[in-house]
Amino acid sequence: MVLTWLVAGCIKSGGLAVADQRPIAVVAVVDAANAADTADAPERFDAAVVDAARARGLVPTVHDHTELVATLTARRETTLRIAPLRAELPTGPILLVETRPAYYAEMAGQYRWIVGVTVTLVDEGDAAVLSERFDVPVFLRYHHQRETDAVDASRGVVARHVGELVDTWLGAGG
Amino acid sequence: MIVLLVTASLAADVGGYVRVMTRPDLEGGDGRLGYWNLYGRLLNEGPYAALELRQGLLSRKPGSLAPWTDVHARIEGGTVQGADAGNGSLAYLRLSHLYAQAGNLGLQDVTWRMGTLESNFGDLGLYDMRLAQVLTDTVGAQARYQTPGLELTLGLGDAGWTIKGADYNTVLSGGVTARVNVANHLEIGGGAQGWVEPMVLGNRFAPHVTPGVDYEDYLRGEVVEQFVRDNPGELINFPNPEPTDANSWKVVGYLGFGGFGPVKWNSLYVNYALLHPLGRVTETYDGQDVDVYIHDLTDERTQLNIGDELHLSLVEDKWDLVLGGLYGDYQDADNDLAPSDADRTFMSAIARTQVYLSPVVHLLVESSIAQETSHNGNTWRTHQDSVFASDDGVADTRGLEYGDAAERVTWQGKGGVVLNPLGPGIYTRPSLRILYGVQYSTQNNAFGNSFVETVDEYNDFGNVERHWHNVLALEAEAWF
Repeated sequence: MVLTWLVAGCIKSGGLAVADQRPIAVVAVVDAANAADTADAPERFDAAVVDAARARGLVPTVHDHTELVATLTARRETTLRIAPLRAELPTGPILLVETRPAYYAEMAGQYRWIVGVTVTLVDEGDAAVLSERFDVPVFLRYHHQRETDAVDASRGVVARHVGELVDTWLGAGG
Repeated sequence: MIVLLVTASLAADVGGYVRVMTRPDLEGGDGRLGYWNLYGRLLNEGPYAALELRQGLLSRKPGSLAPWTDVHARIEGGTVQGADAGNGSLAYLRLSHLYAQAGNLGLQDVTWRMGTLESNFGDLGLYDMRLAQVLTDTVGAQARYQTPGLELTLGLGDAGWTIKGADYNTVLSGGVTARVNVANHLEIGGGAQGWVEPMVLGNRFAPHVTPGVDYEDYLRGEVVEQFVRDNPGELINFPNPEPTDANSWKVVGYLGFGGFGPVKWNSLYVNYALLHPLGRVTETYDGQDVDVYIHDLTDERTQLNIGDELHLSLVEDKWDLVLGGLYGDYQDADNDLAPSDADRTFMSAIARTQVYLSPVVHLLVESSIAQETSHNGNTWRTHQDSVFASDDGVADTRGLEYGDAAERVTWQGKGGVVLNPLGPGIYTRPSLRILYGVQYSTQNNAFGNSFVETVDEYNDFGNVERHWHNVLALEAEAWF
């Protein structure tokens, strides 16, 4: 009893709302300025997003970007991507994580990048959409580390934002 | 400057770098373990702050070939209130970078830049040195062609204000770099920069030569005095300066490889440069200032620098090791008389290891060993009474050497606890550090201090013989 009370208290104090093993589709992409096509996010980035969702009782499934590449490349704005995504993934909620890495400058021996991120949660149906847009500055040690490394380096901060967005959604009865 | 700082809060993007520390030094030092970064940047550098502002004017859109442009400005300097002698004064900050750049203007993959220029191949993190860089002294125009496998940079401009300061004269500067990347496992780069300061008749700041100057007289600041001694009453006939050109150059190289096994990356940098000749010195004789033009006395100074840094991940996210080495050979063919920073050899090796006790709590240990050798005789004091070791206690007031040793050997050991909120990584920041450092040097009191060094009988403070030096540091360092 005491243990249960402690665990429940911890969950409450951490602000985690918990879903009951609800499936959710995860689509995480990189929109690099110098690339013609939208690309998949790095594996560790996907894993961090999945972990954040899984910690809240969701059952995330990462969707292979290759089956969506034409849809996503043709539409670089979030609002234009939701309807075709829903058409490709007709059931269940969708977690769309879009990243836009951009080189900033070399500063005191590190290469500063800014990863612009938009996290969008599309509930079942078309109406309910939660979205948050933010920038994550990251610092890469070497010049050969480029867009993919920048997105990878942002994964910790992005996962935290994903968790907060999912909390908001679940807290509102999502 | 204040306007720029205020503007910082309004800029679209603000990035920066800070390091601040307190290092109480109970042995009379100024809080730095040793003299300079040859022994590793850790505990040998002071506070620093840099703020970079970027205002995007036309943002770059993914998948778009539309033009984009932005403006960058960087303010930086080495002082923080309460952490050093500058006490955070804005007078120690400078606007080091200011440029506008734009892309997709006619040529795809080319970024055009106007303002302060730079092109470098990376940084020796353990030493905080950039050996392979060009154009950092130049204001002008630069074009960079960049694809995933190839980067070409060409820059042209004027380096006169950087090189000559208030004695400004145009110094035409041009540089080029090229870098090839093979599958992100191998990088090869090279580049060069040249400086040309053409002769300008009638301009006292343009390069000139005062004929007939003896190098030893120049070193002693006695060129005019010697002339008058040789030509009594003829100061008015002191030789007129003769105009000339001044040229200099630098070549740089880079080899990087890694991304296999425990090798995260290895960076090897080299540069070789002929330094730009100096302009003039002013001597005062009998209340009269006389300029002596020293182009020909300073046009044979060369520098060779080689540095390497190997970053190993011994156990992924558990244990990292970085090894560094640095070698420098500076020659001044004009000077065979006196020790100087332009005529010396130095070498150093550093190892830093960081063990990640948890994602945020790390253990850091670093050690370095360095040797510095003067080419032109003694320049360091190994004892508080070194005059007895070099000259039997008889001071040579006309001597050009200093101290009793032409070689300095320095060992440093550092260790402590590091808190990294963003997780493992030797170069992950922010870092909050509690460090202890110890140095042994063959030089006496080999750290910044305010000791009274004279050994005469009127020294009221006495002399101190100390080869070991200890500091305890509380530090924070962050990129943001």
